[in-house]
Amino acid sequence: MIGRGLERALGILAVIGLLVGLYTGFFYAPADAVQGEVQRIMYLHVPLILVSYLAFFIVFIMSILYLARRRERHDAIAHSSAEIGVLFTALAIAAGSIWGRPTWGTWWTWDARLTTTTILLLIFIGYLMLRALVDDPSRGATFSAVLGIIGFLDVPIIHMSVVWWRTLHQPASILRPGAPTVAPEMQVALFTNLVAFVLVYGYLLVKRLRLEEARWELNRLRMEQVT
Amino acid sequence: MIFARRVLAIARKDLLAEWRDRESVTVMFYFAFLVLFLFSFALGGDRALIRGASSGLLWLAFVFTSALGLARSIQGELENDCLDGLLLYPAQREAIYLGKLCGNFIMILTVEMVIFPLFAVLYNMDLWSQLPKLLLIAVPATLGFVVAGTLLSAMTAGLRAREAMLPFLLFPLTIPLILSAVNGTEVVLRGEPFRLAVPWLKLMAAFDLVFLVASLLTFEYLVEE
Amino acid sequence: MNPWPYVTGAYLLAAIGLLYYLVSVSRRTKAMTAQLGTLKRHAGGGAR
Repeated sequence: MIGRGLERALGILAVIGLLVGLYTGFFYAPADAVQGEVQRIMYLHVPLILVSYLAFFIVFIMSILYLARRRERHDAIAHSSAEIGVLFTALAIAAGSIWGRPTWGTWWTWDARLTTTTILLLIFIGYLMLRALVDDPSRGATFSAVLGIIGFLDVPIIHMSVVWWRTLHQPASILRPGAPTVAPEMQVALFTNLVAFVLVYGYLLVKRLRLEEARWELNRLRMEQVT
Repeated sequence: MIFARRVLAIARKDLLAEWRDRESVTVMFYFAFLVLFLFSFALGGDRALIRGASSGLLWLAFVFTSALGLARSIQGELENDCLDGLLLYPAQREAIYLGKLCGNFIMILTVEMVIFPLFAVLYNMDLWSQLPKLLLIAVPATLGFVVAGTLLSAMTAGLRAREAMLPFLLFPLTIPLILSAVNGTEVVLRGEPFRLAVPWLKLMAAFDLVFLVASLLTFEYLVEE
Repeated sequence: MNPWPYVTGAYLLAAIGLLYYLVSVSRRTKAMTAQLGTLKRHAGGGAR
């Protein structure tokens, strides 16, 4: 079982990281020359997206490991990481949408990155649904592992197809919600927030892992009682 | 080659079973027709709008219809424990997958071939002269869809919400195929030079390859006990 | 145009989302641990 010590340590580090990140995001970094203060949402949106990619990458690796080795720990990490990944992706899209409203005038745009991220969200929501529907735990783990692998492998292909699609249909005046010209202070703010959110991810992962491992133990006990 | 013969045997079993009553293809064809028919109402009968959206409509109809066919195909295996019987058969799991894949592919492609002229009639388009090029787009797209769909149908067949789960999982994953198919078909229908469709063909080839390899590697885990 | 409603809105939404998830995991873990406790007691009783 995961030690409570690790959980607490990560929790404290995460809080410190977030506080540092808030400071750099709101005080250390200057407001953007073009977008103004609204651009500060980037210090939330970009780290959330990057960490969610990390989370899904871990799902991918753990899925392969589970199929190869069949160790419960790998499945537990995969499931936990997928849940957190979905959370972070959803929050990232929401933050991006809120950022977009004053910047581009719309809540939603079929921008390549945003579209790809949403598709990624859909794939892993499907992953979680599959998990919820399969009763037998090892079957569920196996099925999810396969889905986790093909889902992640699909992402670069999805990205390419969406980018080509957008270059075909993009109007001349491209409203790019891109990274604004990034001053060095902004890079620092971005980096500190990225570290902070990785720590948050780590903390949530450890916490979620306890739940998952308890579930595996429950299944084991139930199996023993039956036999 | 023993392996190839087993694949063909399984595909033949599926196709023969289908040929007996032709139930699945009939259901699929009728469903595709209904979808295409309804789209006309959804777009308010606006001729220009329909013309502009026609490739998308066609492929949406194919996508929904294919999901239906895939689900029915695996369902047949679970009823009467056919799948268990197949697993007892000393064939590699990959042969089962490929056999189902071939059967599904032929069945769905056949339905699409019947839908194409229906589509041409409903939306008043000349497809006959473009048929070879349309096939060049349709075959890799359908293949990719069936590659992923056969794998996923094995995953979802035993679930409570199976009718919903196959589309939920399949549709997001196959978006690159849908995009490529629609854009490729657009190029052909608008009479543009075919080389404009080539990037989409490459994308579909990449998808088909990646998913075929991944499916061959992972299918056995889905059907093991 | 005042940017601050948007900025605070985004950050607040993220905070609520993360906290909600934290609470959800805690609650589920508590329920699971309780179930485990009950099962273990019964298993201990049955073995005797």
